[in-house]
Amino acid sequence: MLTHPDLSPRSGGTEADRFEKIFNYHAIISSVDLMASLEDLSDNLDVNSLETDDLADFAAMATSKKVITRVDWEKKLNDVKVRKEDMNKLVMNFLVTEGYVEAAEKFRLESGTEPDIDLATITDRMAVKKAVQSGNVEDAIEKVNDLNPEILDTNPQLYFHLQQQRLIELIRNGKVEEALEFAQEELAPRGEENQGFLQELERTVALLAFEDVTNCPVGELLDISQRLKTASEVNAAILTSQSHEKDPKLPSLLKMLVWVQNQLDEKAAYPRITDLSTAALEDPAS
Amino acid sequence: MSEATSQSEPPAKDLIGSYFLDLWLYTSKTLALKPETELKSEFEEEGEESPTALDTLNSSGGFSVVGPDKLSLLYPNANLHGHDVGVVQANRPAPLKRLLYYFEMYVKSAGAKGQISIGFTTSAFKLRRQPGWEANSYGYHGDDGLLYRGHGKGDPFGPTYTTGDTVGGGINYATQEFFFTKNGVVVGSVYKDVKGPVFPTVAVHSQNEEVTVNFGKDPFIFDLKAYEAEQRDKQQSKIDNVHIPQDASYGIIRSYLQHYGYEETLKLLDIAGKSTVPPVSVVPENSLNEKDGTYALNQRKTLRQLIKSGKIDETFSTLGNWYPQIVQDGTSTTCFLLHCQKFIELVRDGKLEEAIMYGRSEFDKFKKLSGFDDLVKDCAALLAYEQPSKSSVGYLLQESQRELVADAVNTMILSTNPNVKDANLCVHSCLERLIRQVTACFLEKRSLNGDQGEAFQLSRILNSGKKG
Repeated sequence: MLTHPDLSPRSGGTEADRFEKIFNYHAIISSVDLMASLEDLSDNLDVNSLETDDLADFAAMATSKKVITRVDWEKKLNDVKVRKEDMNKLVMNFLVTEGYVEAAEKFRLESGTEPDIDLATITDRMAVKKAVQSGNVEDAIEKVNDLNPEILDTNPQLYFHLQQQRLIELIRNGKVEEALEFAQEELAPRGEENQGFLQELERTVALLAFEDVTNCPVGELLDISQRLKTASEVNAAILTSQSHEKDPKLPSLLKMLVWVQNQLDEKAAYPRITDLSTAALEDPAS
Repeated sequence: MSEATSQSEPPAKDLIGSYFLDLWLYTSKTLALKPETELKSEFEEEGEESPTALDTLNSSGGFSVVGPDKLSLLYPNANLHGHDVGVVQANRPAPLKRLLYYFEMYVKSAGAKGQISIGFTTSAFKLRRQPGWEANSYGYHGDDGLLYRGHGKGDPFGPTYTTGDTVGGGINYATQEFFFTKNGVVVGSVYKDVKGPVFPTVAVHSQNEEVTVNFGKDPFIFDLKAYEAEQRDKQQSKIDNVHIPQDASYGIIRSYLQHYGYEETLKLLDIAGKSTVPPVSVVPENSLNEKDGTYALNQRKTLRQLIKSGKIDETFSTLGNWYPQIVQDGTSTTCFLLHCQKFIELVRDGKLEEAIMYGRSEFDKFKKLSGFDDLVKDCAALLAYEQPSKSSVGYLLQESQRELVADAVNTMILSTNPNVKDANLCVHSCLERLIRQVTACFLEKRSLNGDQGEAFQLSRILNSGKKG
């Protein structure tokens, strides 16, 4: 195929020069199928004698993505200076937002990092969360009001969900009469005000209609995940009322990493991190 | 405690040592100059200059007059045709390395016909035409409220504007759009189809039209900060939809605590993790990662505590007992860091004479270390001040310096683990590697995008969402 005198091994020059000439020749005669050209090329050349950089350059030409070698990428990484204090702050923020009070206290001592929220408020918040998670909704409501009565006042959806959870717990414990009374007196009036609440109320009351509650269409309401959902909602509302962000910052940072790598993948081949738990760099696909 | 005498080779002190020396040098250069303002402002960090005034060098043939403050523009005569526009660009193009750029124009007088405009043009622009009438230029015109982008016919865009109105022009690098405001309200945006630097531009064209320009010296009428936050939130909601493994954060935090030796915190976190609902999925205790992570955990915790309390003598003796290989070479970087810290502690305690004698007896043997001169100079400078903590070398007396030394010793101990093949892996925690990667990726993405847009800044993440 490659009978042109310029392209034969005897024409002189380095293997890289020859590679380039052949590449350009193909590019001129058939700009369409560069990948096929490369295959053809590798059949006719001693690829092992090519330098990594040359290969990278030509790979980039074929795929029009910038290729960054491991060595170059590590240089870029080394140019990034991360302050230890900032990392400590991220850790403290995680411990505090997730409610690991004792760990946060200890971390303050071991690292000298000040929490961005009063640790005393965490204990109260965790007590509320735990109460909901264990199904003691009345107790939780009392505690929330002790903490800050405005939270439930300004959050009708949260209040409804707590009441709904109370209803679910009554049904779970077989207290049918009490459940119905509660539904009629406390929840029905809310349902009248709000279409969404009404639908939720109807779904919940429907639990009473089934013999085998765990397998019925609304069975998921009895699942522990429902308690966790409500607990999470309460936790978020308390944090917000304390002018604190309801989510820790670290997961957001991880998402940014995944997102920006996906974006960068469209334009460049570079060492990626796929396993967040090890942060190991994987060499760029060649 | 008896993990002391390990049979491994002496650790790769050089690599690790030089990393921490470099870190100290970097801190010295960046902190030493401004002890109060630790971090430069975000924009200073990027090293770009912003427009500050109207350009008076490239005039448009003298049809308009720029005021002496270089922030006002007047069209004194009657215009005759479409090629005698009094158009002026800013003295510099809009900076690229940020999320938004913005400037405002106040219409002091709409003159005879109110043919004023605000927009962006390139350096090749013919300075006799309204912005938007030529290719690669954009202009929002006051007389008809149309947006012109490259030819004589404009598109319906926003309201007209006249005397007393303030209009603003901005660039959103994330969405690659120009946006315009009138009296503090966004009127519209348009795709920015022009490559390369663009200049903020204003123009006047009928008799007695007069405008003033604000490049940020005075507060804007438009709430730019709020708009910026809005735009960031939009970006954020795209990112929020990304899926990450559950408990990924928890694992990374654990790994961080293990890496730096925060043993007590780790214990409490593990207890708490088991009792959350649902319990966090904990790494099995026998896995290789776990063993490497908890290597010498108690010893590292102890040494960190000693250094953070300034007990350097005790640090030396403890290291001598447990890890003699780290301190046996008295000229190693680790020893240098520790001796400097001892010096600093003596100054902190006001024992200046003792400090001088200590320095004289210890510092000499480290002459061969690179960076030695600058760092010893910094230490010695502490002696010159009555209130050293307020001086340019005050950073040495802060916790961060003790932290640096503690981290260096921590890494040296980690490197004595016979299972560790590459000493470099001991230097950075998993969290640090993730932060470096995300920062580098954002920088590369920006660089491939004509260097437009903001970089990833950890401090911005940490400070976001703070109210009051």
